[in-house]
Amino acid sequence: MSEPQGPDPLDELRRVDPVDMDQLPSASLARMSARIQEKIVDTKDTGTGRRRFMLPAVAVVLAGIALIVVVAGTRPAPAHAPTPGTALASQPAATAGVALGSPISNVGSASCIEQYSPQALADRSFAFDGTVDRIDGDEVTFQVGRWFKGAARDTVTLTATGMTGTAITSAGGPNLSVGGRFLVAGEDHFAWPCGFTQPYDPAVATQWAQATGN
Amino acid sequence: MSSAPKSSEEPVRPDFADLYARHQRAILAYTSRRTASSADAEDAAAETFVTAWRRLASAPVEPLPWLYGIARRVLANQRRAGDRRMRLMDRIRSQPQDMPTPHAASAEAPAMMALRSLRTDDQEVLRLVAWEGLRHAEIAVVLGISVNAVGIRLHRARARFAKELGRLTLKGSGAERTSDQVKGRPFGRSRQVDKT
Repeated sequence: MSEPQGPDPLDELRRVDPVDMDQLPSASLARMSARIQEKIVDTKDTGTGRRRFMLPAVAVVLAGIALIVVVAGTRPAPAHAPTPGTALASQPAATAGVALGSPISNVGSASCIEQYSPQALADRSFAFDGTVDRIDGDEVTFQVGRWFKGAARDTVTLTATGMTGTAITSAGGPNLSVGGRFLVAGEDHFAWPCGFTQPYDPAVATQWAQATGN
Repeated sequence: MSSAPKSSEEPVRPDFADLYARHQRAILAYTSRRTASSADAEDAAAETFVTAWRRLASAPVEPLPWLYGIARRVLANQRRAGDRRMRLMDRIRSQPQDMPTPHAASAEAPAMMALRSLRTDDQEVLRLVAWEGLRHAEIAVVLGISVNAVGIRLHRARARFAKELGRLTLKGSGAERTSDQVKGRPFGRSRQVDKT
């Protein structure tokens, strides 16, 4: 079989590629990440035990992973996380013994998709110090005391899946509660776990201010 | 359940976090090209990564074609489960409705019409070459066929595509439309057919 001569007809097809990979909306990527979380939580089927899978131990790990997979990122980061239990293992079968609560530094290959660090924090589209005003499912409204980065509004409502007690208490983020004061960072309308959302701490707030130049 | 890692003692498996960071865009682009809405694309891409995580032990060292293969099966399952909505999506494939790319207007370009005129298998092998930029060996992984079979399928698909594209391009005012649509694209060349 000889290849056709002349211009490659597939060049015409390349020109009508309907998607530019570099132009994918960040909101789409964020929603995709959130759906990964939802699906893994669904698989675990936390409430009733109506499970198709016989993964008692691994399911626990899956649930933990679910709360970490939510964040989309690009940079492997050093092992520093202010919140417990961010175990995302590279080999599911080998992680059954990695309990939630294991610090990243003890897990070896485990990591968040993007781990918390001041620099990673500075790369987020928003970061603020706020108090939880209202929780509706996974939607959390904050009264913002101080913006480190992002739109300066008095209130903001974010999706904080896994951090509101609706599915499972987050392994990678805090359990948000009305009246609680938190440092919150993320992308689009998603609050990220894995240290990007954590209980307020003045020292960390100072760190965030320095990292974001605010 | 017998798919053990290929290398028993020292598998160089990708780390999931790294795999996700490196390939999330490619997989979302893949599913976006083959669904009609960004919601469906995101859902399929998410399902792909959930499946990939579960099967990470069998992931190859270079996981992207493997991920495409999973995504392909996810989309196939969606279609099988699916409904009239999916059939409608087939007709308007490659036209993501709320994916704000500059390419959405290309669905009626001759190349897209020529593509849609082909059999599904032929369409997919051409897309994998033209849009995902895969080589034969990678396409073989995605489609689960031999490299030789890829070569044969691609050769035939390309010939059918070229024939149909030529027919559409030569078809009356189609030539004018072709140049108009090409010129507005980021990669568009200057028009080859003058308006008269």
